[in-house]
Amino acid sequence: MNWIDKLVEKHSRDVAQRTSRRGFFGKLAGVLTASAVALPLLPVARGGGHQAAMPKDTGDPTSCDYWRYCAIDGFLCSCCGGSQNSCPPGTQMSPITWIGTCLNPDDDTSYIISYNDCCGKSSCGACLCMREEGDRPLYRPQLSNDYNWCLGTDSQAYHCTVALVLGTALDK
Amino acid sequence: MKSDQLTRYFLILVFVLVPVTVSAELKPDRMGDVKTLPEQYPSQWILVHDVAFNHMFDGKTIVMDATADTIADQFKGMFNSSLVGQLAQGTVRPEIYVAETFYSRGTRGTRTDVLTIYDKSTLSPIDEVDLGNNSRALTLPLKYAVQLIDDEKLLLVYNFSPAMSVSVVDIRQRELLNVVALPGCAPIYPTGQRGFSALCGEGAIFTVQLDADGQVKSTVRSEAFFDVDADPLFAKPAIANGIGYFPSYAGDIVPIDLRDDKPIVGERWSMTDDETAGWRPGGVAIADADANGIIYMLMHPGGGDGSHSNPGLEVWAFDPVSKERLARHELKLPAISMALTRDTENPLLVVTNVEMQIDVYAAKSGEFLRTLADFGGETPLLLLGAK
Amino acid sequence: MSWRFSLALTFFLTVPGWANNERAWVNYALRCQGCHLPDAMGMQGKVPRLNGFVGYFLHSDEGRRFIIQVPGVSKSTLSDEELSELMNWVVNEFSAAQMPADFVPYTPDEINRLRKDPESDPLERRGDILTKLAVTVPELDCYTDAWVTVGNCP
Repeated sequence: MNWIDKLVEKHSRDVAQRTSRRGFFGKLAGVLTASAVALPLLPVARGGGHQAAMPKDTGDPTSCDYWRYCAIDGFLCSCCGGSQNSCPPGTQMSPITWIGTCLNPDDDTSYIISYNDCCGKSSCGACLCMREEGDRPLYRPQLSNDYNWCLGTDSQAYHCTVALVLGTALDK
Repeated sequence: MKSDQLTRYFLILVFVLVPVTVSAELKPDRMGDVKTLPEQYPSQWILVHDVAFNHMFDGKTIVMDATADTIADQFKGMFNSSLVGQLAQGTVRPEIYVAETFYSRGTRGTRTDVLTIYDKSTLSPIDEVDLGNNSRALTLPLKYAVQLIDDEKLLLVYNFSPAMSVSVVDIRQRELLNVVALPGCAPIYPTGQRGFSALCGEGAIFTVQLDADGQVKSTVRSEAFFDVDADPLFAKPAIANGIGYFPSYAGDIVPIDLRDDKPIVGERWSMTDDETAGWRPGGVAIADADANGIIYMLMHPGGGDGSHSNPGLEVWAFDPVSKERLARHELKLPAISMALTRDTENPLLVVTNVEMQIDVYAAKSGEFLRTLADFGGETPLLLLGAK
Repeated sequence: MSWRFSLALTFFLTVPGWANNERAWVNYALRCQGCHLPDAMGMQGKVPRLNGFVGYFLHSDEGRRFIIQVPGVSKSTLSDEELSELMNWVVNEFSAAQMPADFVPYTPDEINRLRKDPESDPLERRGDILTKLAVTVPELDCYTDAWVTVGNCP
């Protein structure tokens, strides 16, 4: 059972987490200027518009150490018939979700990650992964992964979690 | 021996032994016997809440004797709870309250949230209260999601829809009275005679006082006293003698006096010193108090951002009034949750270890006593001393 | 000069607190979008809709204060500057058509003041405010959602 492995390896991993952690927000390569601004774009996922080359996204999405999973708490949809950004067959992706940021080591950029749950079936049971960077308690729900976030779907049965890239976070 | 003597002895033997042999046959069992438990659970019993994380609709809570050495003596009985039920124990009435969620087709269909009332002796449901708004908070199990106040006349359930609120139930009449809005605060800490408090996203504490009909009589919000970004307080305090001792991510304690209608935030103090720098609280159920007012915290070393759910390697005991650390109990195996039994003489410290078994320690000395293993538990994320 | 550039320039010259769209979007994504959703449509019965709606609140003083005093805004840990920037961006981005013509953007000082007085019962208050607004804002006459029905319905 993954609980055992993950919980025991967390003890050794947390030191690595802490020492390799960079600032909470990465750098934004490029700044909008007045002349470039039309009306603001809709806040949907943005491509690499601020960077010259296509950013890389290496790592194993079935591994708990995959960079996008820095604050995930649940089963990885990649192991459940889905992927890091799509739900398994017959489940519903909850639009209500919680959102954090994770650092992509490939381009040293912090990305905004949306941890949407896939819902409507009972637990996938494969690849349980619990990481807590930036996680906060219940009273700060926007940053709390202790909640079952299947709030916008027909059934709140929690199945697994994806990690969608929404865009880049800013340097603070 | 003469033959007639032999015969006599033989006959005596036959008349003595035959009736004995006939009466030594097993009597048939009575069909339909069902055991019951005492209404008052012994002081060393615990409730083991296995949320069945891999199949959450089939959760269960097992009543166990933490002093027993065999499975037959440990396992007293169990009851189910659906989709991560949240529990509260009654003491005024022999009842256990379980907020749970059902779907009409198991994992799908029409949702119904209920508060199920179990009889402590029969472990059978005796009634339920329909919670109506079907938005009880679905979260990892914690003590503070369901709470009793006002001498157990009112029962409170924390909701998250994602708006945050508290449902107020008259638990004697068994009916829903009211839903009280919480302005970005969670979950439920009984405060004063008939009120409750919650920590809030700006780092304050918000308190509601109710009237006897469960309607809001007054609310009050404190000034912000902790930094939710830099060093948040866990939402899971140890409450001893009416004072909530809230651990922070970085290893401080903030005491909050909840005895009066308005909470009093006390002075923050550190659980660590130079020698123990870097140790932090962490896990699922990380704080509890024993019946003598001693508080216990589940601690791990080398903590930092994101370590607040790390398994603990030690349990630290503090006198919360003198702030003196009384003990550092090293755990045989790292643990994610812990609780104390209510026994005053020899309280037991029970922990869920990383192998999902329950390790039992003497709370005062830290002596390891036994492991409750192979009892059919899978993910016993919350332990409770039987009240 | 394109009309877009003029528009943008006008905004930048006349709208303090709206200096950085990118930052406002990031803050919306991190702090609001999880519940209010990327298109700010919210979800009936669960999360209030901002898209095509939140601008109505700016038609009364009470409504203008209210959308700062709701828990999600008043309890934010953003600075007054960033929060005023975010709120100005949100109302323009999602509900420009509902805003009053004489809208004065939020200032950091105003945000600072309003945040000290957060709303304890947002749903209740929202109903009150919309009821009053329905009298003066025609589009809100006979408006209904999962939480309220206001105005005169036939």
